[in-house]
Amino acid sequence: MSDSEPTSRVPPQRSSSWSSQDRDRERVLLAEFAGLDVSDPRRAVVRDELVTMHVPLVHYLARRFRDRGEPHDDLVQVGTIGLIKAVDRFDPERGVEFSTYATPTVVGEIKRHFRDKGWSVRVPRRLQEMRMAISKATAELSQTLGRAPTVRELATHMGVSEDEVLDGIESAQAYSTLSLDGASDAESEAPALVDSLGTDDEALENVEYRETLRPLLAALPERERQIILLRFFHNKTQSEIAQEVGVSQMHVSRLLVKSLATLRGGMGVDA
Amino acid sequence: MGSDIVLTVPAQSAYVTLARAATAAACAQADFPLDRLDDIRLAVDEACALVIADAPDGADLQVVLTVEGNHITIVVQGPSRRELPVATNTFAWTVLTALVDEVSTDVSDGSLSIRMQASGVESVAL
Repeated sequence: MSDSEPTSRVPPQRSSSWSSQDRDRERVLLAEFAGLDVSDPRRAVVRDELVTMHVPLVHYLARRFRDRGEPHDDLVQVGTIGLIKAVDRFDPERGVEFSTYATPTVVGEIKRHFRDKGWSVRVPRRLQEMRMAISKATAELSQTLGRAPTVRELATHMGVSEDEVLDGIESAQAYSTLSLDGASDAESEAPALVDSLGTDDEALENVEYRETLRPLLAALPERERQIILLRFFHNKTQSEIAQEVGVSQMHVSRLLVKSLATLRGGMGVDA
Repeated sequence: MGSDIVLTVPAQSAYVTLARAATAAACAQADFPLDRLDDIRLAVDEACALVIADAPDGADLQVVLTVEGNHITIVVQGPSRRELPVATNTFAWTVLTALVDEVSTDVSDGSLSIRMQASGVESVAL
């Protein structure tokens, strides 16, 4: 990636979009954050504000990587992880601008995302076909059974061994192809679920570290965020979500794996 | 049927994929519908991540899967620097409880364990 990385223009913090008030606020917050003990609940609040404040920087940096086949939202999502790491590691006493310090970390996360994708995009053809056949058979059997089929039922229906079905569903998770993750399927037809969800704040009311979780959730692409809320805070099954959102259950499952890994990465697993 | 699948791997995220594969195979045995199977695999992912997070260098992660009829019990455990089990007001706990029927956690003798239970469909067709 590095060979074609465009040179940097003026990041948002140095452009006119930031007032001197914003800059003062940033300085105050960074100094406060550095002085807070890890166990101080105030830390999450300050961290949240610092992250929110610098999300435009992530958008700006993500735009450098446009036209490379990845949705902007996905890049912002991984870039935000880099931003959070930068907030956590920044030392205001070193006299470096925060945006200068954060930029390589954010860009690093985005590049890592491309590297991961590059690896995962090579799905063996046999597995790709098996995965598509399973997806089709799952849809058919769900109709007749009124629930998702078991591996045994799939194997019988498809005339293959249970092992082959297991290989197929494992590959559906281990590899994720760019085309499937793109906005190609149902992104636009997805109903405005968010209306029926209530606000994130209600959903997160009883969760510790919600101050950290909220910006991470907000940075997820809309559909991923909806799926997380539906599955974990509204206790919908994967099949129900698949129907509501208009994608296959396998796709819901894959998006859940991906989003949880992202959230975990951003929060530190403990949270 | 009824006997345990015991998997011991280095407590590193690169090996979690083995736990996932074993979980899928065990869930297939227990006749879990595909969406439930995916849920349980996701729960194992999360539980492994929790144990790995505070595992000392060189530690092993153990996953024990027990299938009885259409019921599965999974215990994920490993050495941990934690002094307290996973708190129930964390996002990780919210995730686990949504994915399996029952979950409990314990820390003893420097080892963190997360125990999860779930049931598949009855063999009678719906």
